Amino acid sequence: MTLQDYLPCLYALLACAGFAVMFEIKKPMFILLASATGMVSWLVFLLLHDIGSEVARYFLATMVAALFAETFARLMKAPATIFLVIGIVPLVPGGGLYYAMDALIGGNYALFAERGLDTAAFAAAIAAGVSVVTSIVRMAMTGRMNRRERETKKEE
Amino acid sequence: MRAKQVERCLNFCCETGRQLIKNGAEIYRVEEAAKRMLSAFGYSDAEVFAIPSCIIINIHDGERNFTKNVRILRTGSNFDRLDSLNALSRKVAAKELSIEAAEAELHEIMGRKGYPAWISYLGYGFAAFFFTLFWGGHALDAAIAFFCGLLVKAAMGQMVRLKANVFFIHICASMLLVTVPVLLTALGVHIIHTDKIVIGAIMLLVPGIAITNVMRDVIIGDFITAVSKLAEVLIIALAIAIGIAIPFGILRALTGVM
Repeated sequence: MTLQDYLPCLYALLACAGFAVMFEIKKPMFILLASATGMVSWLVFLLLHDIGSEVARYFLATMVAALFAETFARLMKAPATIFLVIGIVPLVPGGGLYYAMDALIGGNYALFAERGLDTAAFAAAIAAGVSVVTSIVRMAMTGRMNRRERETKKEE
Repeated sequence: MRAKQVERCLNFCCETGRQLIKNGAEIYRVEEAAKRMLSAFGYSDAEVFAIPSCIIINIHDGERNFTKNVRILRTGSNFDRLDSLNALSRKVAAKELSIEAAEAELHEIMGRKGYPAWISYLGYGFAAFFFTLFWGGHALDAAIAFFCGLLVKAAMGQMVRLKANVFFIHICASMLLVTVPVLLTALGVHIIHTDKIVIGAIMLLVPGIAITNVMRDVIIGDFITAVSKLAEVLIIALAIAIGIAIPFGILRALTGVM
């Protein structure tokens, strides 16, 4: 792949900055980090181009984006939602929805079913990616809190 | 006097919870925040129940029970407020703020102004602009998408003010943004890529918060919330799909070709 192929990452970054303004994010640092999450998610998606399965590609890209979002959330002491919502926007299969409707209007039901199912599968992969990372992060946080509680009890 | 103090805490926690939900927080975050804040105020056995449209808080104090519920009718997405409210609830939970100071800060957060309208419009426009480039459109496509983005923002703003429902807002917004490139194509402008423009601009309507929060609420095990949010996502997706279909259907009926 040439440098030209990575140009969409830059577009994703800028588009996500637009989204950050739409969601009324004020702090420049937050806008930057949220947009960076969006760029990373698309970069990972592009880098995984020969993985074979599109669903796996969406899943892994979302996992990386969610990991970034959770990290930024801890660093900035802000809700992870802020970075996550904007970070996964480039992965949202808006194109799938459009092409499915296009096939439906054209009366091509087989194509409509195929594209519709594809879109649903990608959406499910994104959801699964978010949930895996968030679950693990939550488990880690709960573990840390439990340890801390035990330590304070010991001191007492 | 004591009863007054309880009521005050109850009102504060209900209002903070309501604003958290209104500005795009996950439901478990609202429940946890309210519980921790009440615990910091000295009511550790308070019960908090929240779903996307309602919060019920009960405080047991001495021999009496104090209960309040608030309805949430319309949710938006203001992450600046969400962040500030989250920070406020943490401070209260850590006993760094008295109830008076907390109330004052809540008031200050809610009075804060958002971006001026023109910056909001530019945000919508540029998001559509760059997403069209992102999906492979050329500069002219992107410029048309920018215009579509402005149109979406104007339509949504106006319809929210007129209290239209979410379903209808999304049908109309997606119909409007599809009409622009369809009309241009019908008028004989064939160098534009209708699909790239529509896909780029349609991103503005995707219910991103609901999709993300559904998963986060499922993880916590709050399935009532997850089901109602999932319904919201599906209804919005359906509305967008219908909105896309209408202009194309009309064009097809009028000209016979696509």
